[in-house]
Formats: sequence, structure tokens, C-alpha cells
Amino acid sequence: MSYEKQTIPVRYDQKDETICLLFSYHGNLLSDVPTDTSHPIYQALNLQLENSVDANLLSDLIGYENFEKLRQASWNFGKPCSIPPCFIEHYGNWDISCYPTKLNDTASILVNFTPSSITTGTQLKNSFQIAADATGIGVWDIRFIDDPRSLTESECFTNLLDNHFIFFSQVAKQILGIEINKPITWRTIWDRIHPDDQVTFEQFFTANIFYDIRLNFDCRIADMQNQYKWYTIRGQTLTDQSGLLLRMSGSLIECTEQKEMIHSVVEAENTKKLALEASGIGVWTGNLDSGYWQWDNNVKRIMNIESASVGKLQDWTQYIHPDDFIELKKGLNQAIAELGQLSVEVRVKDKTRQYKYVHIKGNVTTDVISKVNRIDGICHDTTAHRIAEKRMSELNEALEKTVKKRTMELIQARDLAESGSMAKSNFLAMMSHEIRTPMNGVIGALDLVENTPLNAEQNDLIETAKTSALNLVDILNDILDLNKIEAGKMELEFIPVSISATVDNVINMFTAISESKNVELRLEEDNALPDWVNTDPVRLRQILINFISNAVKFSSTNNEKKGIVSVTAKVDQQHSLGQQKSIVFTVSDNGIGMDKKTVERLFTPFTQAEASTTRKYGGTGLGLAICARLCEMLGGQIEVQSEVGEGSTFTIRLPLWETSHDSDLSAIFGVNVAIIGALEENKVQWLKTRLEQLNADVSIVSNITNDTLSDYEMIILLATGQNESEIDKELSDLPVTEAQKIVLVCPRQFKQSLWAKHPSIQILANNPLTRYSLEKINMKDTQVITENTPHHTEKIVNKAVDKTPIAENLTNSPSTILLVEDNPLNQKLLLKQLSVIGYSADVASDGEIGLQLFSENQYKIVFTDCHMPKMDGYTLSKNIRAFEKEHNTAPVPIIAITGAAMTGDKEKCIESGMSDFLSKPIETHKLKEMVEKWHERNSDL
Amino acid sequence: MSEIPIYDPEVLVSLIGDDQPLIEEYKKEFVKQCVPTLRGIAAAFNKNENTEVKDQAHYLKTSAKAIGAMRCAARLQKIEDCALSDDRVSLKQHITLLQNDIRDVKKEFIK
Repeated sequence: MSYEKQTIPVRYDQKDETICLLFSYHGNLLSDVPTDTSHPIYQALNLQLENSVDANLLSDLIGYENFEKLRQASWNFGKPCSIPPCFIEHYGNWDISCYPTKLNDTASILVNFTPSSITTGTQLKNSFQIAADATGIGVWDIRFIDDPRSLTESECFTNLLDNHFIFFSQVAKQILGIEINKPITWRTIWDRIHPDDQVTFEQFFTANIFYDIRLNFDCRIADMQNQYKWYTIRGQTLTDQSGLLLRMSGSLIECTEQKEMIHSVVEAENTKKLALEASGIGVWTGNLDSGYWQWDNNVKRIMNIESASVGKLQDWTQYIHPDDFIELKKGLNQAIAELGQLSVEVRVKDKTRQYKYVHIKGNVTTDVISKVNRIDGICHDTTAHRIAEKRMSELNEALEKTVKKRTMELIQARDLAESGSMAKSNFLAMMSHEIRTPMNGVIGALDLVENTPLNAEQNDLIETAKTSALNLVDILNDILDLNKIEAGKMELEFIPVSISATVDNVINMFTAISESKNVELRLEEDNALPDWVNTDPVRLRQILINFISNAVKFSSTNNEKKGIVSVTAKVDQQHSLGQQKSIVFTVSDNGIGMDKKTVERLFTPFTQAEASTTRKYGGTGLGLAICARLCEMLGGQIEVQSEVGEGSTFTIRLPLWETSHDSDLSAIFGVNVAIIGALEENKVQWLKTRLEQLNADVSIVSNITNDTLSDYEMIILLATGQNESEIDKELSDLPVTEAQKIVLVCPRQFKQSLWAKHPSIQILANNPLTRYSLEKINMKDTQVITENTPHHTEKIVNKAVDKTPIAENLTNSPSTILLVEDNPLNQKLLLKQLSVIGYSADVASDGEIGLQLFSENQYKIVFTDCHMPKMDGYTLSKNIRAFEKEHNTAPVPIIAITGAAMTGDKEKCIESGMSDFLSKPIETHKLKEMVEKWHERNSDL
Repeated sequence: MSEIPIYDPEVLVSLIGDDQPLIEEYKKEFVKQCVPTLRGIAAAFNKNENTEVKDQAHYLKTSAKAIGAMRCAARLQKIEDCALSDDRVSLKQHITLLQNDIRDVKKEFIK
């Protein structure tokens, strides 16, 4: 900001040179002006008169603002007035006063021009202003024409607002956001003052004028953008010697930032104060130098201090329990010594002389020279917390007692339930054992009688007795299974299982019975079925047996229709994912069927279609319930479609994981096979695909000659539509050499007779033809091979046991089998069964004798009962294994023979070192299979 | 193993010259040898006689190399390796694939 140097070109030093001139209301000069004078005002006017007579000479001379102030003041108040010293360029400072008058009824004013005595003062003021401007302080000055105190406070204030004899510095205007050249009054500012601050403004100004109270206040004034800013307005009135109020001057400073800062600080402080008050936390400070402590009202209340808020440490700790006071002092001294924190809980006696708990915390700080000089802290009443804690602890204790009591009750209840369940399981296990053992005798005996010469009637009676005995065992098995499932003790084992072998095994079980009922058993197996899947073979077999058994049971052939049971095993590719195959078994029959209501409750235990069904068809109604639960356990589901009189279709979907298995290569691996003869078209293709899956090189040959067949090592003759004599002839006429192997596929009923005539050929039944039977075709000598195939098993089951002893097993040789069994009946029975299949055995009636015999002789197999006096089968097994280890001999297969069939029995046998497991009752064919399986393993013996 | 050629006719030519009747005779002999050897390998595998598997494979491998049945020879080498290391799973897989390799050679011979 620059200021022109103010100079006074004409120094008018004559004292009485006040001149009085008359001007019109509009500023025209009405007086005559002498031309021969050196008075600066005259000179100035003369100079102006040269230019224009009618001009507003007064305004030109003293400036428009001053002219207006003068005129307004004079005419508004109607009495003489003066304006602050006025600087006239080139002519210096002049005190100007005026008097309103009239000339010829025309309003006019008499204006006195007196050289101002405050020329120096003006210069001084300017210096202050420069300083003020430089520091950003706005200054203002107002001159009173009349003493405003002669008016009322209200009039005075209005007069003040509208007083035109006012000066605002440029900085004042700048910080107010007002144009520098714009004339303003306090009214201009008043209009912009925040409504809430207007009262303050008025009160401070009037108080200063009337009561000389210092003008110093803050208010909000809106700038030109209508944004409120904070300003500090300060000022002071100035009176003359007689006490007449002449002027009022002051400063204007913008203080928005400071105000906001203070606001924030105050707000924060208030918040803290409110929070502390609300939380009831007391704040205290201790000066360690002076030994004086200060505290607030909360501390007073908490520590039960009566009056002062400043005092010695003892003043605010006087009601602390003496023991706790020692602790407090100790903590305090430690905090001071370590420049650390104080945290103690003390008991303070309240007004009712009851102790309350107070937690005192503090923090020691140092001064600038690192001298420990103060500690600041808080304290709060923790009595409620203590009480709550105590109550909580009491409550917890009570709860713990209740929980312990309840737990005890529950444990007792559980133990009771478990002992009940255990008693039930033990009872079932015992019953299982106790029933199986005599049943073993019954079935074994019947088995043996069946193999003696009998007439037809006797045979029939024996068959009935045997079937009934086996049924009884089945029912027992079902009850055990259901019990296990419902007790959650049914455990599944997951091992590689051949679906084809399982299906073959199950189908073969039912071929005889379906034949006897004249029910046709059909089978369709998908060649896409995986060879091996991971599942529980026993349970898979159980499910299939149950459904096929039901289908056969409820189907029959009469004059109107032939009974048909169809079994399919397929892969549902749509629902298969990678290795997980959705295997779908369907079992359909055209039997009696069921209504909708029956289907709905079909899988409920002990439920059959109706009571008459049980009477007519037998069964316990447990089978389907068990199957449904087993399916569920295997992750599968069962669907049923049925119609009364039309038959039923059961669909069993099981998600089975395909797995690899360390199995042998097919016996027809790389063999050239020719398929000749007739079969349904799709069946031939199915057969070819299956043989190719078994790695045979397969051709379908239609033109049968020496030449066409000579290249093949194996000929498969399909003879399903011919009678026995036609097949016999075709076999005899076949242009093959002895080196070529022949496999005949024909109806089951011709098998035996054709076999007798053509012993070198292999015969497969086509009703139905299983995938697994094809796996069992081989290139070896047929007679020997067929004896070892599962198909032979079928023959044993339904006809008679093959009594042919294995060549190596000479009856006069020392026994290669040790039988350890305490039950004399079972001993006798097993010895007989073994002799039937061509073996003899040494018998021991308990484990001790068994171990003795084992140590003295060499055996290929040990059969042992599990539950025996003196030494049971498990201990015997362990001792045998220990003996073998000690004498460094190869382990001999130990086969458990047990009446128990509960979960874990097999595992227990294996754990004790046994090799396999036979469940009583033992049928001869099963015994034979077991002997064949294990006997030759120890061929070196 | 698919990167190895099934049959390289140049091998036999380099050994006995471009004598086509003789080449055809060798080819027939090889095919004749393949079937029993393959079955012998399979039978030995089923009996778990790894030494026999290795010996049979080695026997056929020498013929396969001489005739130029390159993929068969490589497969037989694998069979030998698996038999030696008693890796039954891989051994079974390679024996099965050997059957395919022999079929492929037969087809090549007919071309």
C-alpha cells in the first residue's frame, strides 16, 4: 500500500484567518470571493470559479464524501455541525463546520474553514495507520457532531449507525470484503452482522459511549459472499477537556481462525468434561515440587472430600483404608522412581461409613529439564463393578454347580442308556452266537444227509428243512443288521469291488430258484461298467440279493403270463463325474405289484404289503428297510415304480468311485477268438465288445469252414435257439482241431448233459449270460478250470458237493489241517465236511491243545473257533504267530470259525493274526472254497 | 510314446538290403512270434513271474528292433523296466498297450 506524501504548499499561519462562506444546498458558492487574497481557500475557489460558476464548488473543494457528510449532518440535525479535519489537496488540513440557514427562503449553509491544528496529529495518525495496515489491522474512527450521550441509548445507537462522519481504513474495508472506494457507515456493517451478535454489538457500543466500558468484543460479519467470518472490534471514546464526547476510534481484526481454534479447543474441553462427568471419573494433579494437589468435583465426590479442591495429598486420601493407603503410597513412590504409571485400587470410606472401591491411576511426567515434577491421574468408583463381579462369580459358581449336577445326571442317563444298548447288543451277539452254533449243526448235518442216497420224498424234506434253517439264519442276520444300523454301529468298508463278479455271484444264486419257479431271469449288463469300484462288497451284494430275491419271490408263471425278472446294471453317464460313476441297478418283475400306499411305507421295518403277503410269501419285512438304509449310507437312493397286478421296478442308484486294482490280465489276453452261431444281434455285439475289453482279438465268423476257423485259437459257439441234440451235432461237426478251444453258449438246462458228452469244452449258460462268466473263459484244460470257477459253486449249492478230492490230498497222509473247536458236535460235523471234500484234520478241543499240536506238527491250515475255554481263538492265533516268528517259519493261514457276526468281529480276528473268517453255520461248499483258497498257499509244507 | 514311429521300413533294408520277399518273410515271422510271446508275457504276469516277463519281453524286443517295429520295441523296453522294478500296475498297463502296438504294426505291414 503506498501513500503520497502529504505536503501543505501554502502555510497559512494567520490565527484569525477563519473564513466563512455561504453555499447553496447544492454546493454552489453564494458568497463573493476576494481575488486579491492569499488565503488558500479563496485561491482554491477562485481557481475553480474560473472553470465553472454553477458547479458544486464545495464538493469539489472538500470532496464529495465530506460534502455529503456536512450537508446531511447539518440539515438532518438542523443545527451547527462540524466534520473531522479535512485534507484539501495542495491546501492542507482544515477544520470545517457549518450552519444551516436560509437565504431568500432557499436552503443554504454557512461553512467555516479553519486551518486545522492537528496537522501533525494527522501525520501521526497516518503512521499508526501504516503500522496497522502492515499488521492487517483495520482501523476506524467516528466523529460525533453532538454529544451522543444527550440522546437515549437507542437513539444514540441509531445515530451511531447512520453517522456519516466515519472513517474506515482500507485494510478495514478489505478484511470486511467491502470495496475500498465505497463510502460506508456502521449501518452498512450492522446489516451484515450475524443476528445473534447484533445485540452484543449494540450493547458494547452503547456501554462504551454511556458507561465508558471498554469496547472489545467478537462478532460474526458476513462478507460479500455471505460467508460469516469472525471479527474482533475494539475501540474507545475520546472526550475533550470538558468531557464532551468528540469521537470514537478503534480497530477491526479478522479472527475466524483463532475463533474456530478456540471453538475446537473449547468443544474438546467441554466434551472431555462432559465425558468425565458422565463417566463419573475424577481428575487430579499433584505437583511434586510444591506438594500441592488439585482435584475436580468428581474426585471430591469419590474420595469423600468435603470442600477445597486444592490441598495436600493427605487431604484427598484421608478416607482411604489405612492398608490401602500404604499400597497407594508404595505405588506412587514406585511410579515416581521409575517415571512410570500408578495403578492401585483402594477402599474409601463414604459418608455412610461403608467402604467403596476406587481405582486410582496416574502418570508421572517431567519438566523441560527432565525433572520429575508432576503426576496427573484419574480415579473412578469401581464399587458397582466389584459388586457385579462378585455377583457374577457367585452366579458362575451356582451355574457351574448346576452344570456339574446336570452333567452328572446326563452321564448317569447316558450310562444307563449305554448299558441298556450294550445289554441289547450283547444279548443280540450272544443270541447270534448261541443260535448260529446249533444252526451250524443243523445245516451241516442236513448238508451231509443231502449227500447220502435218498429217495425223492426224503430229498424234498431235507431241502425244506435246509431252506428253513438257512432262512432262520437270514432272519437273524437281518435283525442284527437293523440293530446295528439303528444303533449307528453299522460300519461300511470300502475296498475295490468288481461289479461284474458281484452281479454274477448274485445272479447265480437265483438261477436255480427262478428255474424251479419257472420264472425267467434276464440280465443286461452295460459294457461301460467300470471293472473295479470302491465300495462295501458285502452290502452291495446284500442290496442286490434283497431286491432280486423279492422280485423272484413275488413273480410266478401261470397260464396267462410267464414270470419274468429283469436285472440291469448300467452307468448313468449324465450323472457321472470323472472317476465317480453313477451306477444304476434296476430290478423289475411282472409279479403281484403294489398300490401307492404300500409303496409309501415300503421301507419301514417290519412292513410288507399286507398281512396276507407275509402269510403267503414269508419274510420279516426287514429286508427293504435295511436296503434303504444301506443305500443311504452308500450315498445312493432307491426309486420304486409299481402297479398292482403288473409288477414292480426298483431302481437303485449308487455313486461309486472307479478304482484301479492289481488284478491279473485276462486269460484270453491276445487270443484270436472267432464267434460263430446265432444270438440276438445286439447281444453278439455286446459279447464281442466284452471279449475285446478282455484283450482278445475277436472276429464274428459266419462262413464256417476249415479254412475260416483254422486261424483262431478259440471258437465261441452261440447255440441259444437250438435243442440239445442239434447243439450236440453242431459241436461234433465243428471243423476244429484239438488245439482249438471251444466255448459253448447254450441254455442252462443242457449244460450238464452236453458237458458229459463234450468234456473238453467250456459251457456258459446264456440264461442269463454274465460279463463275469466271460472273464473266466481261459485257454487251460477245461475240466480242471471249470472246477475252480464260481460257476461250479452254483452246482455245489444246488446239487451236491463235488466229492472229488484234490489229487495231492491223500487220505493216508498226515493231516494238513488243524481244527480247534470246543463243541463236539461241531468237531464231528466239520471233520465230516472236510472228509467229504477230501481232507482230514487233527482236532483240538481248546486253544492250549491246539497250540501244542501246532508246535508238534506241520499244518497247511488252522481252523479255529474264537470262543473256547482255557485259550480262545484270538490268543491261539497270537501265540501261533509268535511261535512262527520265533522258529522263523512261514505263516500258516488261520481261519476263524465263529458264530458271532457282529461288526468288528472280523477286524478282531485279523488283528489277532488270523488270515480269514468263516461265519457259522458253515456250508460244505463254503468250507471247500476256503480250503482251496488257502490250502495250496503252503504247498511247500 | 505316440511320438515314436510304429514301423520304420528303413531299419530292415539297412540290415538285409532291399530284398522285398525276404523282408515280407521276416515280417510274417515277427507277427507269428508276437502272439505267443504276448500271451506268454500275460501268463507270466498273471503268475507274478517278473523274471519270465522280462525275459519274454527282451526276446520280442530284439525281434521288434530288427524288424523296425520301433514303438513295440520301446514298449517292450518299458515292460522290462517295470518287471525289474516290480511295478505291477504300470507293468499291466504296458502289457495291455503292447497288444495295441502289435495290432498297429500288423496294420502297417498290410499297407
